Amino acid sequence: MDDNTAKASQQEDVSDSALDRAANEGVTDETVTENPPVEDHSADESSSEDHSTEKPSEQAPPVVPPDNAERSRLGRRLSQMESKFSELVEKLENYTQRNSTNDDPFESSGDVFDMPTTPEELERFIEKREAKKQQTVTKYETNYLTTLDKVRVDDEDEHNAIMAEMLSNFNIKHSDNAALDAKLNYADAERAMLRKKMASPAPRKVPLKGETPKGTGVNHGAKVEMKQAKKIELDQYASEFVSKTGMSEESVNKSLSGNAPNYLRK
Amino acid sequence: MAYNVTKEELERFINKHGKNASKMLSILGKGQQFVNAIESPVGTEIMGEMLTALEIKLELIINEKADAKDLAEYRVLRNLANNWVNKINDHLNRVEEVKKS
Repeated sequence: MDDNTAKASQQEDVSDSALDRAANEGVTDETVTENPPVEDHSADESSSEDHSTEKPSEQAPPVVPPDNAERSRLGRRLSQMESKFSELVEKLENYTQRNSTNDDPFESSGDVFDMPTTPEELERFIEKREAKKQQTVTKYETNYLTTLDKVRVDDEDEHNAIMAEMLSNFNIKHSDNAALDAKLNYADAERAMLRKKMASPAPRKVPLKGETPKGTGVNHGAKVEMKQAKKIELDQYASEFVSKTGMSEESVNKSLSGNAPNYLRK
Repeated sequence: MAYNVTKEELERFINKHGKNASKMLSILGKGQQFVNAIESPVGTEIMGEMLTALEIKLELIINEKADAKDLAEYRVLRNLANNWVNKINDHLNRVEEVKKS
C-alpha cells in the first residue's frame, strides 16, 4: 500500500513539473501527455530529479519573449531600425554620387594628369586655362558682334549714332550670354540716343524770300499709280474660241484688270 | 449645243484664273476645232462610215466568221473611235469646268 501511494504521488509530481515546463517553454499538450508512465521507481526518481535539476542549466535563454506585447514591441522596433538603416544607406549613396559628379578643376580641364605636380605640368595647366579663357572671350565677342548686326536698325546714320552711344556708355557685359547682352546694350543705347534727340530737336529752318523753296514734308497732289495687270497673250486657238463667245482680246484683258463686276460674282 | 460657253461664263473664268486662263483657252480652242470638224458634213460622214465599218467587223467577230485581217481592221477602227471619243469627252469636261467657275 505504501509503495502504491508513493508511486501515485511521484506520477503526480512528474506530470505537474512537465506541465509547468510546458507552460514556460511553450510546449504543447502532446509532449506532456506523451511522457511515458513511470514504472521503475528508482529510475523514475533519478529521471525526475534530472529533469528538475539539469533542464534549466542546459536550456539556452529563451529567444522569443513569452509576452505578446513585448514581441510586437520588438517587431515594431526592428522595422523602425530597418527603415532607418535603409535611409542611412540612401543618404550615403547620394553623398557618394554627389562627390563623384563634383567638378574638379583639373578633371574638367580634360587633362591626363589629375593635379599639376611639377613646374612643367603647372605651366601646361596654366597655358591650357588661358587658352580656354581666350577661346571663351573670342566666342563671346563673335556672338556679340553677330547679334549687333542682326538687331541693328536699317538707317546707317541712326545705326552709327546708336553705336557711338553704346560704345561710350552702354558697352557692358551683363552676363555670359553675348546675344542677350548685345540686344540689351543696343536697346539701351538706342533709347538714350532717342531721348537725347527728343530733348534737343534740330532747329527748323523757315524758307525765306529769295531762297529756293524747300519741301514742307507734306505730300500733296501725288499720283499713286495702280499696278496694271499684264495683258494676256492669246494664241490662235484661244482667240478663235474667245471670238466665238462674242468676246475680243481687249475684253479678255479688261476682265483681268480690277475687281470682278457684281454680275460675275457668285 | 451643250459645249457652248457664254460670254459671262468666260469672263468669270478669266477673272478667276487670271493669266492661267490663256492656256486653258488655247486647249479649249483646239478641242473646239476638233468638235467643229466632227460636226461638219464631211466629219459626220467620216464618223458614220467608221462606225458602220466597226459594226460590221464586230458582227463578224461575234459570229466567229472574222479572219486575221478582219480582226486587225477592227482593232484599228476601235482605237480610232476611242481616240475621237476621248477628245470630245475631254473638251466637254473642260467646257463644263469653265461654266462652273
